[in-house]
Amino acid sequence: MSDTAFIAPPRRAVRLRALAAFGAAFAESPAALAGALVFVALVLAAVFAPLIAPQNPYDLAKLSILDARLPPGSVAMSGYTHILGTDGLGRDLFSAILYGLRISLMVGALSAFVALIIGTVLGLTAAYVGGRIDSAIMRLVDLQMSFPAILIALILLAILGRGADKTMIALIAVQWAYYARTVRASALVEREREYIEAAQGLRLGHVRILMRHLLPNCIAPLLVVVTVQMAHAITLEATLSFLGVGLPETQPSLGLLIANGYQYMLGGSYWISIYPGVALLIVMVAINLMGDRLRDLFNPALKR
Amino acid sequence: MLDRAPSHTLEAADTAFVRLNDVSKRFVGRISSVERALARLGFDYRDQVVRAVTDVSLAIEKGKVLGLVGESGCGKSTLGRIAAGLLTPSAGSVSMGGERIDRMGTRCDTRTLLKAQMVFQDPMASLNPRQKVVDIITEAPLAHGLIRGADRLAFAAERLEEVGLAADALYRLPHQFSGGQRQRIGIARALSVSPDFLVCDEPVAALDVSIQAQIINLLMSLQERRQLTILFISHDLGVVKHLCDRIAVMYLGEIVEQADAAALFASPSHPYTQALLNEMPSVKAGRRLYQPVEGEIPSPLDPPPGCHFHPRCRAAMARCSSEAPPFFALPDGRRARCWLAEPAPSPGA
Repeated sequence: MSDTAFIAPPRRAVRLRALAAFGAAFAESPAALAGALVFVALVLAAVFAPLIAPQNPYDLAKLSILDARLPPGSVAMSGYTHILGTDGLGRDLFSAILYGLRISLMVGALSAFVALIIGTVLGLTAAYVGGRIDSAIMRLVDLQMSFPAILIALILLAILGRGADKTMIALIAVQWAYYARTVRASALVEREREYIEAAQGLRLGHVRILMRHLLPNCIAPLLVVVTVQMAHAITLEATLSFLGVGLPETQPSLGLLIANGYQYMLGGSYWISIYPGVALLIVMVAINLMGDRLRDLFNPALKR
Repeated sequence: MLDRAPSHTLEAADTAFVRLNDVSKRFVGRISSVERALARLGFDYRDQVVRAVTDVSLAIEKGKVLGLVGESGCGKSTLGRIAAGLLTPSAGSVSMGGERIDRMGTRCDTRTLLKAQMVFQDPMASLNPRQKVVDIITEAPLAHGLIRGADRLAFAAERLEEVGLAADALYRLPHQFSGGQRQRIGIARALSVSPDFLVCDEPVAALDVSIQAQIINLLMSLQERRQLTILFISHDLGVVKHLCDRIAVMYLGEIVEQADAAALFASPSHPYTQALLNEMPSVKAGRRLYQPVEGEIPSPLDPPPGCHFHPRCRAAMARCSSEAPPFFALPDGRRARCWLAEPAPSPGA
């Protein structure tokens, strides 16, 4: 064997180039690019909410009931201008939205992520093992999907009680089945390909074949489901909070902010509900634009 | 390959390295419980049984190449997968060097199982599209502790060199190669665990004719250098003629004729083999004498009674449609499953 110095790994460069190519393909759609930019901006705003927000909406000592229900642009007693107005407790709505966004995105992303892991493991196992285990898992999926998500979440939260963690459990419980079904569908196709047979012929372990061979080739459709389900999780959480079973009052999410303003709606204080609603809408549209583009990119029928 | 010494009948081949004994494989499409209930009520529902391989016995001597030919759908790929230990036979046994390799999973020694490897037909589908060549080649030897992590690059480069690829292929992905190069990578992967027995399932069928010759030559030189025992599956008699010491012809799950390569091409005894040979495009004749085997291959779900080939056979007799012929031993270690090959005085064998 000659020296192996000349085969130094061009690893990082190759990976970066692939990523850049993917980014360029993604950006070919201006709507998707705009969606991605808005989404990144919203995530940054949510992450850095404590630095950006003029007021800490959780600090009740800072609130003054005299500032309650100020319309957008009013100047408060403290001299501060509330650009989006204040809510029924005198909270600055802009700050409340930033913090609410933080909670909504966190709950949505975390529950989508955990559901992704659970659903992927179960779906891959079902496809790879087959037989009775496949049937058992997929009947569970059918059972879960035959009930409306909101119903299951409501029942779970009625049992568990309110709270961010409990809301996430409920969201995970209603979401994992979508991942399981998606992964199983693509894994059933990939399993029949000869490289899986080759891996079995090389007597690699089942876990290795699942994780190293099957999973990487089933990832693409999952990415699309993740974006769609994340949007779904955020709406569902907002709905649950709106109904008063989701997150606690002390940590208002976007849904809870909308619910809080609801009672003042007919009194003319429209802004308390509308602006959190608009924020939620922007999040949804941004995520869905990205998801649509990803779906197009990963659809083999539309390739080339 | 140069060594074409007359081999004995397969039953007597005690020196056989790889041995398939009465191997059968059935695939059962089970009916659902609803259909089962209906069947009990008298409706016509039953499990669908495909007899892909029926009572096949083969023996390959160490360092020899056995060609397995037949039309598509005759069960040759299934047989190949059984021989490579990828499928468990429904009945019968497969052994290699005296040890059984026919059961997947833990009951066989992994080191033994690794000695039988497979080269697949479609070089794109048989390589993991998300694995780099270096990982494709080194994953199994690393996982089984055959090489050390530090030797990984050198090992992979060596395997690539062995199959005629440059070491700069190491960090590329399968889709960046041509079909022939991918097949070389597939061969390198099979060689990575130093097998003694290689099952090649139509390894050149998906390639250009010019590339086919290169891959065949590569397999021949590897076979010689590594003293590989090879089961070479193909529907192309021309390829098989070039490569194999002995040839088995398969039809609808059964071996219908076995003979040394030269003998088979010189004088085929089974009508199906004759038909296949006529089908071979010939350059020497000046024009293509192309006579395809008439008719379709019957469904293995419902094979014809008697000799499976009789509906398409030009020499079919009355007996062929009722009685299935056994193997008749012919001179020079040839065997044919045809009444025409029956020794004159006494019927049966």
